[in-house]
Amino acid sequence: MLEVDRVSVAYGDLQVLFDVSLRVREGELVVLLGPNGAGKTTLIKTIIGLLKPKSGSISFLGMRIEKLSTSEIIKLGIAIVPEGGGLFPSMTVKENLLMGAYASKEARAKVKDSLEAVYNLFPTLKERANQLAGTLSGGEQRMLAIGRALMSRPKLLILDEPSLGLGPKLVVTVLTMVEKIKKDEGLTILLVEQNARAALQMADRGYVIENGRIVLEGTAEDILKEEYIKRAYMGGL
Amino acid sequence: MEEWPMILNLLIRGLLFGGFLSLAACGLSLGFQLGFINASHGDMAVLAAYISWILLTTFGIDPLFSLVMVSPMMVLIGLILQKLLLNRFLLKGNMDVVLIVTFALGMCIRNSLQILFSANNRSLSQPYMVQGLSIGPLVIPLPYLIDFTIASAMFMILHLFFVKTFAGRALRAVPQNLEAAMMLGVKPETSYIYAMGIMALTQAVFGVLMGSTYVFNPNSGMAYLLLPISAIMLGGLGSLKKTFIGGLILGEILILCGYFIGSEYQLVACYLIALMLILFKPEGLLTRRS
Repeated sequence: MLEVDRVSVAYGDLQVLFDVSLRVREGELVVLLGPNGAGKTTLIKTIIGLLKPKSGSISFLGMRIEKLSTSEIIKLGIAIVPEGGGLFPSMTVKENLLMGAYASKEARAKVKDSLEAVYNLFPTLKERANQLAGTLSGGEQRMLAIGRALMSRPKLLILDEPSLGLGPKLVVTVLTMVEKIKKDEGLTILLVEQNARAALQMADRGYVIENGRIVLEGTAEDILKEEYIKRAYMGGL
Repeated sequence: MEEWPMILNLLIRGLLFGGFLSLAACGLSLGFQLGFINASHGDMAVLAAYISWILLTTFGIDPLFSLVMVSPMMVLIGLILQKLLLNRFLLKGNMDVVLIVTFALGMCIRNSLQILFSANNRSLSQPYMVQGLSIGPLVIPLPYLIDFTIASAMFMILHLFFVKTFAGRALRAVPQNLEAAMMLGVKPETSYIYAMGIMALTQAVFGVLMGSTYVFNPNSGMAYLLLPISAIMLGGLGSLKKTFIGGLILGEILILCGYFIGSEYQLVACYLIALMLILFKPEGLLTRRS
């Protein structure tokens, strides 16, 4: 579904991604692991069109997208939950969700149904529909961010460290939510995470990126078994 | 007891005038929140007043009626301006250039108007407007009521736009988190175009109404810019509500000053208030310092 082929990205003269290749097939949950500063968010921004690659190509459903604008890419069916959630704090829960349907005419036409579906998935959001997003708790905010991404009925959902900054219990809650979405909605998911073990246990395949380069790829099982991953990302167990 | 009705009259007039002033402020405030400063904001209102004046003196069209024609004209002018000129700089992040460009634009408008119409004061006032309505001890000049009513109607429309439409919500979202908005498909150029459209529309209405309530000349644009800026500074940025309240407060201050100190000093009072605010509470009276 998504093919990133030898993409290199630079901020001016500073190159941050070097020949990165990554693939997400339909129905898969693919995990992208890596330490801070490895280039995970840069890659996500490039996929969604906020950054343009110096070289390489990105295809979605067979169409080249690396030169398209963000709004065109979203219309094709990609939705993103950015790092930290990217909520609009002075707008209500409902208004944040409505913004999720902004990008395409189809999404706007179906907005009432999408809203119902998201409320069914996350009843807490329905309860707090008229509350300002900035007043929600950390876990609820992540829930809202994910719900908002679902409003555009995407084919590919990209989540950039959804558990970032949350306490251990909430990390479990959020990752469980992601797993549930994959099972219930049958979405294809690209999950960027630092919680390697939890993420790999839910995933089909994974990639590890370090210093702008993919250093490991394989099935989730294989990566979990790699000694070096165990040492680097899971506290050496 | 003699004094009471006068104070009451003044207070009511202050509110009416203030509510009307807020109209000029909301377009400007929207621009500020999106990051661009339109220094020709006031001159746009003057331009609208002159267009209305031409329609009045050439075709005998009533100023209030002319709003229907002047507004779309101004919106069109604004949109062309935005698309062809200003967006070029805004999209590259050159906000300072926009300030200079709009400043120059304002000067062009002012000087062109001066050449075409001379610096004489003009007025759009019509005989039927010059009367006062008596409600008990209150005497309210009709123009104040007209201005306030039309301004309130526009506010209501703007409110609905911001709350009920996707475009309006997007405009509110952008100042809160630009990158997130872009990730949802919001295009900054579209936001700027909407903002300019709203600015042009509100300024068209403001200009024509000001012109029929008071007098105007090519240099009125300065005041038409200073007043809304002061209102915004009083109320703080961030929502229509704050801008409206800022306008109300400013209106009260101006009317009271005009009565007690003299109308020549109204603008001076305005300048002083603006100065005090910049020095002591730049975020506005209604905003909590974070």
